[in-house]
Amino acid sequence: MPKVAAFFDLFFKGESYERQAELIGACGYKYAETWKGDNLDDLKAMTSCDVKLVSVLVNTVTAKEYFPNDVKTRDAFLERVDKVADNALAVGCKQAIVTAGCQLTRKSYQEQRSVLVETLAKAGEMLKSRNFSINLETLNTDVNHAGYLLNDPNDTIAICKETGCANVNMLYDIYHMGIMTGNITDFLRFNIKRIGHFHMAAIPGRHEPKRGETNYPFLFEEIDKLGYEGYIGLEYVPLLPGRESLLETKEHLNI
Amino acid sequence: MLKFAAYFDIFFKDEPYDLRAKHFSECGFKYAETWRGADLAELKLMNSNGIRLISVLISGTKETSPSNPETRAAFLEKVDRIADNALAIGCDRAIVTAGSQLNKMSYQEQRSVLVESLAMAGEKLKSRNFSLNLETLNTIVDHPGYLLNDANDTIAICKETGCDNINMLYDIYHMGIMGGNIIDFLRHNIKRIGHFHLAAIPGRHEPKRGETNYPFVLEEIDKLGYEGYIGLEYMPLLPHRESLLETKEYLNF
Repeated sequence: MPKVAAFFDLFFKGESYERQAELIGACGYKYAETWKGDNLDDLKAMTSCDVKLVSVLVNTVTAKEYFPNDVKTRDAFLERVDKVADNALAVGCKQAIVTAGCQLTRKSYQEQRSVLVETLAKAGEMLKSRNFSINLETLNTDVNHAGYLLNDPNDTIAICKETGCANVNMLYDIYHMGIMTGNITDFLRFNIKRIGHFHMAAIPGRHEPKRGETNYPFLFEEIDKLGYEGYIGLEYVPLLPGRESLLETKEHLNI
Repeated sequence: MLKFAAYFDIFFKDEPYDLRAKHFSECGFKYAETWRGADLAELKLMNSNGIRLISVLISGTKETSPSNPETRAAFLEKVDRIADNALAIGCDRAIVTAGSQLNKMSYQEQRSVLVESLAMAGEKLKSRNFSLNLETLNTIVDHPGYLLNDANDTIAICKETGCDNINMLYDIYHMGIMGGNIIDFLRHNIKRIGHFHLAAIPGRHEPKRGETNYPFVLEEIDKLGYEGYIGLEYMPLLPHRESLLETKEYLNF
């Protein structure tokens, strides 16, 4: 079955990273991921016990100083990719999430998309020899992220392919894509090879995966059958206390 | 409690209608629906053996499309006849389909014709206490070329008719393919939904075997106060009795 990662930034938040890692491990999870990445000490603290850190974040959605879809901030984005990748590699983590930037005024979608493809191609090229890969996030623009550049999974796959880099793939967030398009299984059957990472949460509400309109046990089985070997991150906002929530999800997904 | 309807045109298809009704009863069903409607004798056979027929079909074929001005009169005659057939056995609702996209008319033109046709039909049926549920389909997998694939626009069309007896048939399979985010839509639009269908995505088979968490969605529909029926319009993979029993257990009714 796919490997599931808890989230440092969502569970046991008041605790130190070392303690969070212990608590995540005590719930039976072997993997975790984070929205951090620019501070090596943070990442070291997260990897202080047996829980493996499997993904970090290059740039947050609204960090306009690092937008990869804007020529003016491309160099800053690439510098940040460089640094975050090195931090991650120092703790044995081989992948990061990148966000695409928000829509810019006075630039068409096509112009921004071209810049994004070029930026990601440069990043992919730079990271190839380090065996590091980046996963491009696509969000729902209906409920949570109005104004974000990418909301169409088909186009995100196309963008990844156009970079010409095998280490640039899609982060498919089942919550976001379930809101934007539905028909998830059909999409995955055709595009699984360009999906480098998954996130999930219940629709609607973004809470525990059990409490929504998506049949996650079915999708898990399907993703497994498709031969996916990466991770699935639990990027949801828990309604339950952290431990209960992770245990409920573990049972629901049968992991 | 939600009310579920088996489908005469899908389950036990080789049997006569009254025997199909008997099988449904034996599987624990009280309600069923059909794609038929033009032949009263058939409806009488269906409405037997403890099964109540709760919905029939008024199909907007090429000759009877409500979105083509040339076939409107034929559509309205068909509505008239099928509603009377249904009412004769105590069934007070029908599904209507909107017709296909036409080459020489824009979407907006066809949409205007559709609203007018449905308003005429709704007006005509009001005194008979009969209602119509307008179907919206997925045009990606099963029905390219069908006029309506946008759930929001279908609700708008129903409202624009000005008739309370014109509502949407929300097929969770079709709409799950076209849009996702089902519950959010239902919370805002449940009052204009007159009928539901369901099936697994992908494949349109037993509801248990797909990406939709139906027990959760149905609990939500119940909470929203929906009082109509939910039709099991899916293509069974299992032998039919087993299929209906699996679905009954899965949906907990």
